[in-house]
Amino acid sequence: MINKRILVVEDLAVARDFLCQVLKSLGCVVVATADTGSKAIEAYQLHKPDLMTLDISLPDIDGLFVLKEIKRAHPDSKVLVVTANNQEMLRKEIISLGALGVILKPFGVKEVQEALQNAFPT
Amino acid sequence: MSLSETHKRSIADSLVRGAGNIAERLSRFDGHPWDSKVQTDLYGPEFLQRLSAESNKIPYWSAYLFAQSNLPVAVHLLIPPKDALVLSQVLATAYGKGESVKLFSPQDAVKEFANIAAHIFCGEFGRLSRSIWILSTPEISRGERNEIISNQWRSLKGANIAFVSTITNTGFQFKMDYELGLYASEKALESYFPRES
Repeated sequence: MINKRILVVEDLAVARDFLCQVLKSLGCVVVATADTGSKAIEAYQLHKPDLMTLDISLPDIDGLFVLKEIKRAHPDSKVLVVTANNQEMLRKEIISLGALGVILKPFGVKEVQEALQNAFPT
Repeated sequence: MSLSETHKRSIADSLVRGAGNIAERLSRFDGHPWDSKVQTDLYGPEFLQRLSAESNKIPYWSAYLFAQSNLPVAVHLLIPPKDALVLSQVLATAYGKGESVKLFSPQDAVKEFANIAAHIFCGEFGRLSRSIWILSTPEISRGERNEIISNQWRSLKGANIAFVSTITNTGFQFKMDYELGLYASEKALESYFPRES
């Protein structure tokens, strides 16, 4: 079990619910969810989660901007980006901005578990 | 300035590869292999006239995503109602694995699938143009194909070229037809392919 406090940022309700369900099944506590970039930044400040999962496409500001802001304000933050785009150039950009990695959509429990284990090695 | 034939062909090829990758991801959804058949057509400014002559009364589901740059480029997914229902079943199966079966409305299913499909294509186009594309979240609507496309094409100021792929994805239990389009101005697309000096 991965007992960590997670902030889930995803604008699509069905995808957000599914990710929350997967995280809970792995032992995590979803401390908050956000469906926009600005709400994500606020929620991060408020909850200081152990990790944030971050969708790239958000209705107000794009996920890369959110990532930059979070890493600027909280350099030790742990962020996993969630996207369907598997372009290597994008992955490199995401990593260079300080994210731990990418969870590729569509994903199952296994992909989320692996990403979390990499984020919190025992 | 107009886009070179080589670049047009490369973009059409990237749509075909994108459709193949979408089928591969659908396989991840339901655990069975999916096949894809794709036909890609290229249209110029006559596209709107062609659409206005169409009399297809089927109320399609539509998802429209525009590039988050200031360039007039957009990705569009159109899916007939019966295929949207198939999609709802595929997603319910995938997202219900090991847990209570989650029901998807066709609208949610189209939104989720369009988000995935468009970003997969985006990855292909990004590789081709050596650039990073971020798309907006999908805007979902429903209506007749010609009206939906005409409105979206007009809202994209300067659009004068359309790459339209008609895709059939066939899996073990499901078969699904949909259309994936790239609408843009040639000038905008050309800016992704700087001329070699």
